[in-house]
Amino acid sequence: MRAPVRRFSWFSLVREARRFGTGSEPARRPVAPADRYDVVILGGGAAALALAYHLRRLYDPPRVGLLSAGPLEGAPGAINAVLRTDRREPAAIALYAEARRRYEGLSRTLDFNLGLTPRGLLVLAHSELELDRLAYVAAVAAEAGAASWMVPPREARSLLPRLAPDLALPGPLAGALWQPGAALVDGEAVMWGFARMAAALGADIVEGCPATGLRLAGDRVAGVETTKGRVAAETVVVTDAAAVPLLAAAGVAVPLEPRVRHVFTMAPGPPVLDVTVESSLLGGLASRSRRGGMLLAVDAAPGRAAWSAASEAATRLTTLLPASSRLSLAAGASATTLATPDGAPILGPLGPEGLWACLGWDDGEVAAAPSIGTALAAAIGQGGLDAALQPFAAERFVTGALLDERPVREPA
Amino acid sequence: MSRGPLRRLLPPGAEFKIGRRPPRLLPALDLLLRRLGVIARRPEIRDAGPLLRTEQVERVVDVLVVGGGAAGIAAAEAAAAAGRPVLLAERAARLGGVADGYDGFVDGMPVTAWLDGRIAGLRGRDGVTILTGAAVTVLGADGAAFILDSSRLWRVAAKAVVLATGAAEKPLVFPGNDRAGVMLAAAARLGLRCRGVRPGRRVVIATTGDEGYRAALDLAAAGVAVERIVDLRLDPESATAYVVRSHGIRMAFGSAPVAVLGSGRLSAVVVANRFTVDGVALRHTIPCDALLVSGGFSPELRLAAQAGAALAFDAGLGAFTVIERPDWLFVGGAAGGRGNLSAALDDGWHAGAAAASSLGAAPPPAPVHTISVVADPAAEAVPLLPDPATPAEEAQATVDLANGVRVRDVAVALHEGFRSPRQLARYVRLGRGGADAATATLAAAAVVRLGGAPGVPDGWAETALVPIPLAALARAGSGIPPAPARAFPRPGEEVETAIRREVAATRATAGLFDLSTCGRIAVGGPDAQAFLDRVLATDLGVLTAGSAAPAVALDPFGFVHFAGDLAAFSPMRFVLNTAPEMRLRCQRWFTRWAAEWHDLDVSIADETSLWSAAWIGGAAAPSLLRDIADDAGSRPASGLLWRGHVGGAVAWAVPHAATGEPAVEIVIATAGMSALWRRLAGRVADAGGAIVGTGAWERLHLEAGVPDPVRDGGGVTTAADLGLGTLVAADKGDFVGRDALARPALAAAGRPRLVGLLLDGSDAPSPGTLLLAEPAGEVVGRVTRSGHSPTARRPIALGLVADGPNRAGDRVAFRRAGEWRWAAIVMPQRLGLSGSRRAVT
Repeated sequence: MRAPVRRFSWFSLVREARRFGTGSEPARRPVAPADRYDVVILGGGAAALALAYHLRRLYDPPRVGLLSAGPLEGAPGAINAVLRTDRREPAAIALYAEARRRYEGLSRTLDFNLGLTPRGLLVLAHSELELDRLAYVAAVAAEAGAASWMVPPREARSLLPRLAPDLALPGPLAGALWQPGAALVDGEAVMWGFARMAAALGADIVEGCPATGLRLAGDRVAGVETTKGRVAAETVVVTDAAAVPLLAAAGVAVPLEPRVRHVFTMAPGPPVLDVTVESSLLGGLASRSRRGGMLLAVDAAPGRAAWSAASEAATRLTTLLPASSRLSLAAGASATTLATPDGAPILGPLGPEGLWACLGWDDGEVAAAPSIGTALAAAIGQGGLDAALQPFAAERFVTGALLDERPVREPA
Repeated sequence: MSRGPLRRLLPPGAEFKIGRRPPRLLPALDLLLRRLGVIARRPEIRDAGPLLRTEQVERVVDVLVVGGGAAGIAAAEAAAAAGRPVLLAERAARLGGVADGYDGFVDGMPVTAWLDGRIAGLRGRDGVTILTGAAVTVLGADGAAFILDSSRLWRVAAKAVVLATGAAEKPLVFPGNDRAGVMLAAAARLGLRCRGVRPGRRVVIATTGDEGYRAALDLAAAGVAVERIVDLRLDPESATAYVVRSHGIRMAFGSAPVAVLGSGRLSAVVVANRFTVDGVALRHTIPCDALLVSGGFSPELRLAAQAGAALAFDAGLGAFTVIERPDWLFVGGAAGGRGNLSAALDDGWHAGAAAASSLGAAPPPAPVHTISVVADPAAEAVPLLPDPATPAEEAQATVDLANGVRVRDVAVALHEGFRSPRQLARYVRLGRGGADAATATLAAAAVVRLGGAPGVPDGWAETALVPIPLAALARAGSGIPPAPARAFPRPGEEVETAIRREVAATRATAGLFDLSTCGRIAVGGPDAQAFLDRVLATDLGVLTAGSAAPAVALDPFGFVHFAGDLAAFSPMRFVLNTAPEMRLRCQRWFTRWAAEWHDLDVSIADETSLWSAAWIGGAAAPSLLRDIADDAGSRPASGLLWRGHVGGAVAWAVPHAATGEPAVEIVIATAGMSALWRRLAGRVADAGGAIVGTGAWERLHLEAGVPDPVRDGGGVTTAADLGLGTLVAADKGDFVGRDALARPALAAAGRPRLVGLLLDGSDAPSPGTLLLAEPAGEVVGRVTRSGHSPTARRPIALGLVADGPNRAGDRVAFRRAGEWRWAAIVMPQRLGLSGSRRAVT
């Protein structure tokens, strides 16, 4: 393992500021891809960067190259990624709960402030059906060791005092799922933090290098073609949904479908909520950002522009939280993810030998990144998935053993 | 963190470099610091706060012109002359743009007087609406604009949009450029002309174009001493420069400001030659109390970026330009790089004419004007000053004045590997919040100079120019469709008690439930039957007109996607009735396959809102329904009890016996629902029945053990798992999901299947509770739904249990409140209705 990057300290930061940053160290240098790597990771998301970091940390010899099609940037809304464990599959809960534990010390380990802000998550139930479904999730999560339980309407109101008092008119508040351990994290900082340490440990982080083809030798992966030349590799990990056409060209079918979310950012204003709140009346999730603004992420039908849905989103938000009518909408953007039909990611080997996938996240990539990075690095080192990741293998779309992670809400 | 004395001590990206280890304070100390106000207190929120709503105006126009300067006025005139309704929105309180800043004549009249005449003419035209003090804050990719005036939000849908948004003057970037006393030349000049405000008494002007010379002439005329014009160009060729020279104002060519002196107020500017390396020798200190700067103009294109136009930074022009635009978007005047009056008038007219002709109106010929206003040549694009800057100088030169970003911050961020516009915006706040045209242009120039690739600033496409108050954005009403109540508790009654009372009343006499939110998806057309045969797994062979039958649709993985009752009205028209939560799913599914199979001629329509329905069930229900219809001679058909009218509205009734009671669903055109409801509610109340909410409705179904694809299994249960195997006709021919039925996991023995659970004790286990073969033993399944059954007088549940139906009679263990309890497995059908109270143990 190479000597780690010089760590930030108050002394070094002030010294750097005094000498106008002339001694600052690149977090990652702009590099061209090498001709050959042991492991090539296609894509520059949080999970990919965590994998690059853990591969270098756990296995000294492998040369790791991460090829990101564009610059390392989070999707709209990534700045307020929610670390939550309310899932239906115990295997998924274990993954997310483990990641949540790892996040606790991760800012220190990566020497980068990831903006971890513990704020609980309150999922409101407005109908008998939602009450049943949330109770199911709460029971499954509690069994898997994640702190979450159902709270009656009165307690939900005390956690969310700004909730409209006359909510009984548009839709009753039947109860809520409360996750005190949920937190917000800056998804972009997570990417940059992992990238910085991965680069310091000797991984090549190449930005602006889209892959154009997958090279096979018989039934083995031989490398990838990129816009910056041919890269040979024995192991290729596809984490970028944009690379799925390359898989198809190599004869590997991956079922992915687009999911769209509109993300609206409110300008900083009077406090409306402290906890993160999700509600079907809202059609999504509202969270408070570190700088005092608010982020509203709502499900959307594909093909609809964010601004055309702004009025509807504002109407619902102000109905649910009347105090939010004093806020102003500063920005609106759409984020499209390519997710699997069952809502759980595809992890593990894929078709030709040496080809791996870490694909198809609906919304949990940042929340799972630390545990996925370790687990997948270990799996690649051992050449196979362990029992914890086995349910996520791609074969489930052939055998029919799909996971029960499908989102509940249909986008309006 | 962007300002203040601390900022000098902090590096770029401080947000990420500091606070990696959250400080842990002793709780007592923390409390003390919060009390003292050293740490901000968490705001105490007690009540919901008021709901504000302000007025909203919706308009549809042919042409929206953004900007009321010379170009915008010309564009509005052109579109109006072509006979198109026009809306012109100007951000400032009055039209005319920067015309006040220019002397000269048009058609023999002073510029402003001439323009006032045009404005008056435009106001008098039919079909022209002019909004002043109205900022276009968002221009969507579909031509929809959000305009904020002083009190209202205008939502304007335009078929064509002309952007005549003008240009912003760029400041110069040099050490100390954020000091008080440094101001933009055009702003100072317009302030002097319109409001008589002098920028100072002794002024130095630094410029890269003619705007600085215009400022010098205006200031000299107002009696301000212009100490020096510092022109960054080596050899300016322009008419205005010669005029200024004739006034005897001193000039320095090829020079630039490199520092400003003075504590508090500005006292002097240090100027040096740009083109020599040993610049120190050629430094001059010029005493002054104001420094006017002009770095040329940058087109205001944020709305173009929002609308989906592709922009690129042109280093030669030192500005962003449009390289590709949507076909409904037109750019004219200074926004398109044509800022001089004659060019702006001409370009504006052409943009307006092009917008009108894109809508099929013949463009009128452009009017010819005699314009005698001195035209300014384009200013030179000068990125950063001084040209060979040291790190210390870069640390004092601000490139983004709004966010307080210094050149050095950008250099360090680029060095540290943060190179894209978004990365820079997050790491050093460069161009944060969709910075204005001038700032963004400077930032891009700085990035070019420092060796990065400039891009369109982060947020231009997404950020509203002015934040829109949600009070204005939200529409009237709640935006949330009314949901039926869970229960109708009597005063003082708990919800759960009310649910049990309603269930009991239904079983004893009658219950009335509003089924209007149920989805009703109509499938019509000559191939409707063939379409349904392929999209549904159920064999429809026997479904004749006037009858109804249960049906399921599978997803491509063989799991139940939705279920419902399919009613056939004719071979050309079917309606699938489904639970509210499956309405959207069903409608999307049908629409998707109708689009995919274009060989089939079908139409899909969501008729949910056209129809309302009331369900009335219980032993007394049939007698309560006697003579409910207007027409005694209603025609019964197979499956339908009758078809006719109630209160004059079309209605029909179908048997709906899933809850295990005699029950009827009356479907009626929505207009007639309130009359029907009143009539039924009166009869039910008289008979001692109850109006039931969703809670009792679900409980009645739980008692009857009716499987539910949404509640029982969440999308990974097969029809066989739910006991609906008979609805899947695998041998009927191809249908969606058929191939998947043979997959190993679906055909495997031991799949979790739906069973009923009879429980002892007083309360039911929550959905999701694990079921074990014995305490702490092997896991065999989970509870999916549960509740207290008033009919069986015990808690009951449905659950998915491995190989469940074959375990009927076995018992399983579960944990409740820390104790192990037992449940008896029974077949789900009529789970709570069997009447016998068997002991579980």
